[in-house]
Amino acid sequence: MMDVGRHPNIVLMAYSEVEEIAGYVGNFTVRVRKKARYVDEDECTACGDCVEPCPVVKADEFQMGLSTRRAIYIPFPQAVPSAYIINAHECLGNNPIACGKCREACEKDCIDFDMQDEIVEIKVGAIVVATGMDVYDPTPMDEYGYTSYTNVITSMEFERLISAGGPTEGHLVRPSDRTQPRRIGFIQCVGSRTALAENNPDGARGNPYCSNICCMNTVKDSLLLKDHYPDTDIAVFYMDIRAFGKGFEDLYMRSRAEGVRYIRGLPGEVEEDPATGNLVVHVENTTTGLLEQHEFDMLVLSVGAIPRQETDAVRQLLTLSRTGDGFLMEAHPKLRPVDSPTRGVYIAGCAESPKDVKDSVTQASAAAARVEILLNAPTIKVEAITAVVDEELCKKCGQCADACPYSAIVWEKKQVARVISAACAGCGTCSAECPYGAITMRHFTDQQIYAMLDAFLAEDPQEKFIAFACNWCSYAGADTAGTSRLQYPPNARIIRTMCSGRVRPDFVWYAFRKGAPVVLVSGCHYADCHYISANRKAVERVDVLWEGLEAAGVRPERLQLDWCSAAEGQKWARIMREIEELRAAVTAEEIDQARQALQEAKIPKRSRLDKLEKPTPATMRCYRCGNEWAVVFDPHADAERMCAACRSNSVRVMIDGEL
Amino acid sequence: MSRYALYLGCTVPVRGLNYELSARKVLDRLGIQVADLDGFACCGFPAKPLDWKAGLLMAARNLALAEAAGCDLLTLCSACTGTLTEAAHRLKEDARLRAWVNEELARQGKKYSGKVRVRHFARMLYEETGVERLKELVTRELTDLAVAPHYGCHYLKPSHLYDGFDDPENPHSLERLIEATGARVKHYEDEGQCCGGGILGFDEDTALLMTKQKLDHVVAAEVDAMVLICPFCAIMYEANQRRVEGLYNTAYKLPVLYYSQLLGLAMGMSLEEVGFKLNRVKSRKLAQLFRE
Amino acid sequence: MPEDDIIDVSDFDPNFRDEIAAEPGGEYIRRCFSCGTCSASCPVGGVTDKYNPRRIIHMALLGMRQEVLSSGFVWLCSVCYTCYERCPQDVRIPELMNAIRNIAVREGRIPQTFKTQVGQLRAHGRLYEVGDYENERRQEYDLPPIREESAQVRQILDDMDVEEEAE
Repeated sequence: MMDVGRHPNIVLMAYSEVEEIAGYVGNFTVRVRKKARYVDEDECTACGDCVEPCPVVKADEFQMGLSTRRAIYIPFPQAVPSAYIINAHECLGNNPIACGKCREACEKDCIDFDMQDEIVEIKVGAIVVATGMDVYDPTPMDEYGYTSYTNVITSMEFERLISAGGPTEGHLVRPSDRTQPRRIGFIQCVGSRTALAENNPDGARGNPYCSNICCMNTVKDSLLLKDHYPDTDIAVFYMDIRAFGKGFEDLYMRSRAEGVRYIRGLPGEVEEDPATGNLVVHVENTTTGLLEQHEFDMLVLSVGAIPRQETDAVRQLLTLSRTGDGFLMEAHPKLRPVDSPTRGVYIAGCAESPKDVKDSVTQASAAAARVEILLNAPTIKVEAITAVVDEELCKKCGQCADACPYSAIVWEKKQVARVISAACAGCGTCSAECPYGAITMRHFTDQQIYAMLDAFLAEDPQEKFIAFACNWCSYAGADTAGTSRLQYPPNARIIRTMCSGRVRPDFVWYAFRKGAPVVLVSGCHYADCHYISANRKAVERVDVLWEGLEAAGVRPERLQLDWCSAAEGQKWARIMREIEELRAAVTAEEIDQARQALQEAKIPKRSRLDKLEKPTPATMRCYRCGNEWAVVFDPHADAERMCAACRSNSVRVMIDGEL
Repeated sequence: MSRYALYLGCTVPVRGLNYELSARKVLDRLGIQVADLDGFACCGFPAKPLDWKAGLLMAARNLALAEAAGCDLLTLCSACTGTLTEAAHRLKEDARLRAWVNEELARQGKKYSGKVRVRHFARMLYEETGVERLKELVTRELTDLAVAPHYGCHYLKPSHLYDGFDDPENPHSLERLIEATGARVKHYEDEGQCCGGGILGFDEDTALLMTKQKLDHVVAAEVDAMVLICPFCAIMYEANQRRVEGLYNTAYKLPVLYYSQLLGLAMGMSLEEVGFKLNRVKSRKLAQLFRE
Repeated sequence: MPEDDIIDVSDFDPNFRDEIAAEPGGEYIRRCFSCGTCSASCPVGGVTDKYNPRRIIHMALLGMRQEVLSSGFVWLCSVCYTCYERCPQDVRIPELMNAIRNIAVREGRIPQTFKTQVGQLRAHGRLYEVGDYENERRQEYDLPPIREESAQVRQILDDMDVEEEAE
């Protein structure tokens, strides 16, 4: 940290917040709010004279609330810059009647109560996101008694208690009576490996993923304890010890050899003996199948990692995307592990997933190297598949700019939209959104797609159905089905687009007018869109189309939607079989009726669902199998719709009554 | 639907008259009118382990009766609450299941479209009447009473069925309701422990051992009474108290009150009015406190 | 190891888990990763070693169909839902036990106490009879009379083939 502070090419902006990022790869402009710290950081020598007179005493966040600090403080001893800071919300202020005592005490006169936040704009070519993670709060798992029993602590709190820089200077004591605990238990997987389900809808009782670091952290803690206090009796309750890294198994074996007891079984509950503050852990030792009770002086909950609370703000600033677990998503899990989907932006450390120091350093080094490659090139090459605005046709409405997941379209009122080719990823969502057909997608033009529809539906259209498949997932899924030699009905005519967001509603309308019995729109799984969020646009458009078809008297079930990944050849084959069944059931009269009706009928501009602002009772109807269920539909939840009965995504939200 | 039909279930109208009596009086005092519908039968709880379809249909039958009368269901027994709430949820969410149930119900001239809401008496008091309103109606603060709350299982769990209205690991609704009467709440070891009623018929020794543990813990907390909200739990702790005492050669003499009785007393009703005559375990202190 | 403790794996029914998963309530059996949270939380298991939900699930997953269905232990779940709330994998154990009980009942394995209850339900539509005596007693306390509704309940039980072997 000190080295970073001293490096001539590194500008460290502590206590600052990024407010806005504009521009694109090689040309970002970042607006940073340097918050007022009310202490001149260049002048302050961190002598500490200001601290004692400060009358405001608060829990010290760095010490996990186990000790106190004042309203003027240094966040932690190694903080850079090494200068004090005043928390303005806690400080009594410079009113001489109220306080101002720190200022009197400061000989160098570095305290300035009039200091203001400062806005700084900097130009950078690349950005690395290393915003870290938070830890799981075990409060909702009340059976472990974290909120009610003083001597139940989290692994983070334990770290402070055993750290030489901690509130006890490394002398381990338990919170209730400050005596040295002789018997210590650890419970693993607290907040990890817990399914999101009925009993845990929002992840309050834990997240589905393994948090990666907690096993080895406990192994390390146990060895630390055995080193400092060899007589300590230690038991670790676990499901699986995941000691997979270099040297990890060795460390685990050493811990066992030191006499640490590893007991396979997660405790059901913890009770406190109110007289002693000791804790009784109820557990089934699953290797013997016997119920056991273990008494401890202190119990440590080995809490998991969770995405930082601000992750979504960061995601929006940089047009990034998140994986289902809430961490930031890399551009490709194997081949581009530190690139983000947005060119010129890289990800390192726990912002991407929970990881230990070594992995974080590895990833950070890789990100730095990726930045180096970018910054050393005078120009960069991009794929030729980009959007091009026809300035003659553009009506300057700006809808394309709103639709672009990459903010790659620059538009101002009364101005023609402009695509920044370096930032454009080529999904085609803008082109599908433009009401005037003013955006051409190179290599996937409207003309090309209409030509394919014409050719497919020229003869015996009633025998075929049209399947729009995205390049990365669905089309690749169809490939997998093919290379796996899976059998399925050959009636599909597949049209590849880069993204399901490219599918213009007019394509679907046109296909029905040309006599297609069924049309399928398919793309990447909802949370895995290769273009950040472009597949959400596909859902919106399918909603609009369903309503339009219904209004025109065409059975909306004839338009189908599904997500299929590149690995899901089996699923692709299943979808093909199911849709072929639907196709076979479409009558010649129906096809004719649609041909006629859709000549006249217009595609609605917006879906009724657009009007929803707050969660509303609705019926979900599966257009694949007919299943129906009631929900409270939250228009802002951004949740995948899936039928529990047949697992298809052709699920329409039916709002009861008028809106 | 706004009006409630009172659903008594099997146990209350035969073995829990004191619960029914006091609950009706309290509802009356609160100005809450409830309908008594003809034709209710068992909620389906005993049938579910044998044949889930039979259990569901029995529940749906009762829901259909309420729906036809334009009523929601107000329940006194927690097991009924659980069974009926689960059925109401499933039939609201699953159109296919609803269609199947309606095919079956049609033969009894009934149908169910998924509109009925099920509420336990205590939850209704806590969420709809509100603790503040109860306090207004308290004329005799029971400050001399220390009581141990017993929530039981099906009143709280599965929590998702109950929209998470109370925390299943660390509940507070009954505590708040008791405090409204002025009585002091005393906590005790293993408060969430199940009464064991679910297995009484199958393994009496085990069930009564579970009952014993709870009685031990409650008595250790030195309370004047245990307060509960489910007739199943009352059978275990009150009706079977003498048996447990005999089996384990011990003496509890622990009065067990339904919450509605406690609330009735706080509203100024006499012991007789809240049906205390039917409580098997009496204590001198209670008799003295509420002597007219 | 005594001879009796040796389990003959060749008797196992590998399809038992699928049979349970096909039963409403049993769908989530395969999620179990045997952490033991249920057994450590169980109030019944706390007083008797006859009942251990994790072990039952493990036996079911192994395919010990005969042992699971013939032994009484699936009937020992008090359906208190403590484990339901705490299970990290949402196995929904009380519902799972009910699913296994449903399978056992279809094979005629129904404990006496439940037979008695079914008999009551058939006769009275409820677990306790409400006849003249009960209604008179209710009247003493000013409580409205109750009419038994047994025919419709009987119809449901008949249609659903709930074994009639009451008393």
